[in-house]
Amino acid sequence: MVKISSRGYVVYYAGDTLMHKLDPRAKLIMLAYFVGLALLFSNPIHLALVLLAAILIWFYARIPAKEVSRVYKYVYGTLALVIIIQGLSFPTGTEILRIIPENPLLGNVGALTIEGLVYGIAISERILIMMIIGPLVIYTTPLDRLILGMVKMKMPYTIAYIMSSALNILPSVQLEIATIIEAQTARAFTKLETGGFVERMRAYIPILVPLIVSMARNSTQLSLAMAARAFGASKERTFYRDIKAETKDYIVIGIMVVTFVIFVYAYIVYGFGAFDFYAIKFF
Amino acid sequence: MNNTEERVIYIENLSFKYSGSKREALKNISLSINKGEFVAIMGPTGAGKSTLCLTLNGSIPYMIHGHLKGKVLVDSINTQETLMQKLASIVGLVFQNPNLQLFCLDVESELAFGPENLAVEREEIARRVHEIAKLLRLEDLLERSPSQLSGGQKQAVAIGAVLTMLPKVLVLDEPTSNLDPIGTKQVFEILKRLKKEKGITVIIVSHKSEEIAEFVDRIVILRDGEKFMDGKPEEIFSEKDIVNKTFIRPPQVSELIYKLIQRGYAFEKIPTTIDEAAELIRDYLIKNNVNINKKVTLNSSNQQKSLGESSSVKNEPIIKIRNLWHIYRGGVVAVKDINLDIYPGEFISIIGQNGAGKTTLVKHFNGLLKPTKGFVMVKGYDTRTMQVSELSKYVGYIYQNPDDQLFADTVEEEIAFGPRNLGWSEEEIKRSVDEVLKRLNLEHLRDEHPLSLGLGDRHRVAVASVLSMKPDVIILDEPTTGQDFRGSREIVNLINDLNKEGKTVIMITHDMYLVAEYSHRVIVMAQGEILLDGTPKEVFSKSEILAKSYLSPPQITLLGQKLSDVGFPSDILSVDEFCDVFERIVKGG
Repeated sequence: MVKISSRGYVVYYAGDTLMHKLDPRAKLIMLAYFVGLALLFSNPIHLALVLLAAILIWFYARIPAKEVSRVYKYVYGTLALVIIIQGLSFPTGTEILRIIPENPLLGNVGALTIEGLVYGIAISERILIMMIIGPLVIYTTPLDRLILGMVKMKMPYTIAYIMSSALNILPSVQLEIATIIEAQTARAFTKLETGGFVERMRAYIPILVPLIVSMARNSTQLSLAMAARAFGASKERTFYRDIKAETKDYIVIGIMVVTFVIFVYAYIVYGFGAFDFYAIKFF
Repeated sequence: MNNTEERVIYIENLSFKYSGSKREALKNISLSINKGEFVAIMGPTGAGKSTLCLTLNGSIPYMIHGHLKGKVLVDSINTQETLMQKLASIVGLVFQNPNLQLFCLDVESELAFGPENLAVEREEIARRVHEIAKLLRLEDLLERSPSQLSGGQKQAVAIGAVLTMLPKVLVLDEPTSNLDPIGTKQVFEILKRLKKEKGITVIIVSHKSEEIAEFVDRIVILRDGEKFMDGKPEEIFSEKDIVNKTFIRPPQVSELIYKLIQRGYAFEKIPTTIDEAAELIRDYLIKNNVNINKKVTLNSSNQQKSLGESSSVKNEPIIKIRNLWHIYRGGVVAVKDINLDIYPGEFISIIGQNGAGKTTLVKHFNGLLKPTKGFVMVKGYDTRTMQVSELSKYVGYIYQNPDDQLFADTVEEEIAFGPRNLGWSEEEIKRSVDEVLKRLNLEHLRDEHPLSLGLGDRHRVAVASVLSMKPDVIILDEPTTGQDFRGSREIVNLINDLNKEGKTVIMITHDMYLVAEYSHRVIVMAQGEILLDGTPKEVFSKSEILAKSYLSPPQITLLGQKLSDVGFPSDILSVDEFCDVFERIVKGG
């Protein structure tokens, strides 16, 4: 079963896997664990293994593959850009292609280097890990329980609520944009594909103005509706649904804590997962 | 003053001015409402109805700032001296747009959200959630996401979500404006049950006179921020000239008897519901020994509206739809095998429940949607091969909310936007803009900022900005939603005039009175298919088929159908028509 938030965006895929059954706090710790590992390691191979682990959990939790493609539809371009920019701007290394001629001002910038490319790949892997693990936690946890998890971890309710509702805002804005674009298209509006940046931005005014107006109006409405439901009435708040950490949660948290400590120790002492981009010994 | 315990709301000399505004939104209002009363607040747009609602739960002055004078007591608590969050548990406020007041993942969390914020014990929340769910018949929907519910169900959830805070007063600000007829009925029935079974005081803002007359105990009418009238429905609706004084349309049955009295027939009272009216008319016929021997049929002079169509039938259709299917991504079949011809000069109303496929169908006419199967021809062009921008020369699409399209700095620029996009010469643009400004009486607003105008004017600017492209066909998607009687009338009169000037009009609407009064042809849709297609008389006389798609003809038509045993025809469309039939029956055919 798929649950959709009030704004028509899928935020929870119900399921029966361990990933679903874990306490939200265990999942939040898992989030931190993966982010921690992504930041700790710099070796593309180690990062690839962490990424693989995150992807495996994704498939284990049986989140539809189309979600994967939806999340990453916008990412491919960005990643390609990261890899190329890093490749081009790395200060030294084995040159494969020179785009900007060597000059005193830019130095080695403008040469595509192997070291730069490898570094770009590592950065991309880091971004990918974070982008996989975030939605994974959200897709397998009902929103109210996630909030409850955050609150039980001593985060103020209002902040937890705002964080989680930020997830909802984007799709509603997308819906509003679609309506506005339709309304303007019906007035023979066509998006400007050519021209400079300023010209293009000007061409978007027919969409931006109504969007800002509607967002201002909706946010007032939303805050009135929330106040009418006593949101923020008192610092004390009860939770209708409770969460309880069980043995399996402690085991999962335990495994994560122990392995993380081991990885950090190995990193510091043996350089496990570290990578010296300046001394690539491929050749 | 000895019944203070019974009095749940007491307002004394209340005035309010929004900060930054010169006008007083509320002027010196005094009002007292007793426990268990069901009160409707009516009045034109801008009369202060919403402002009054917001003062009842403390949103004014806590969240919306301005200058407040006077006193508002709710359950003997002064709203200005009490924290708003505390008032939330005394006054439950429900708003117009269900999508902007439901924010949880499922219905159960939605119902629990209020008491959670009030730090109610978990067991008690569970008890309340289940009691309220049972009362509002939401038990089977608890697991569902609010976004998957119908409009009526969403408002039921919004009502339930404040009821779990156990308020003494329920205030609803136009809760049915965004709903189709079935949703509207659901909401009113819930309110009736709440009053009966729980003794809750209900205050509703609404324009829907027929429902109000049937359900409420008392009507308060606001005009220009002042309390203008206050009384029982039968007192208010029997008031002479109520339409001109307050821009409130009385129920059709009240208007009918009022008009018959004017024509010299003696009725002792003005009815407000259909049953009362039927009884009055039966009594009259018996008392005056009217011999009912034959059924009256409406003569052709009463059918001029349908004649408009037959004269245009000779022409080639302007829009031709053949075997049209539209299947959305994800497999939802929105329209199924539609065949339809639309002729130049027609005024077509498309009616049906939300989700019946009305909007999907009309979005094919200007190419916003392309057929999954089948085709649509507009003036001989296949929409599959045309851009929306090309089709917009022939088909103008006016959106419900003018704020979704107004952006320019001046009205003039706004109206010139479409023609400019079409690449017309400056001279042509100017000519068209001038023409449209004049046609819609907007000349004096030429240099104004569109967003600074009132709702009615913004609507006209939006219409103008489509008309300036000189389309042959105009599509309107629920143009009167959220408008008061005067606003709806202005819009529809304008559309009607344009139709008389030769434009083909296609209007999606839930307002059966407008359908009956203005259209040549009515198309009833249900589950993606066309259920009925004919003149308003043909369609509305089939009230059983309509009922299956949760629609119902205008009240006056229903009254005729109820009185068919005494000779009234089943296809009366207007109050005047009913009066004529009545005269013929009384005079013996």
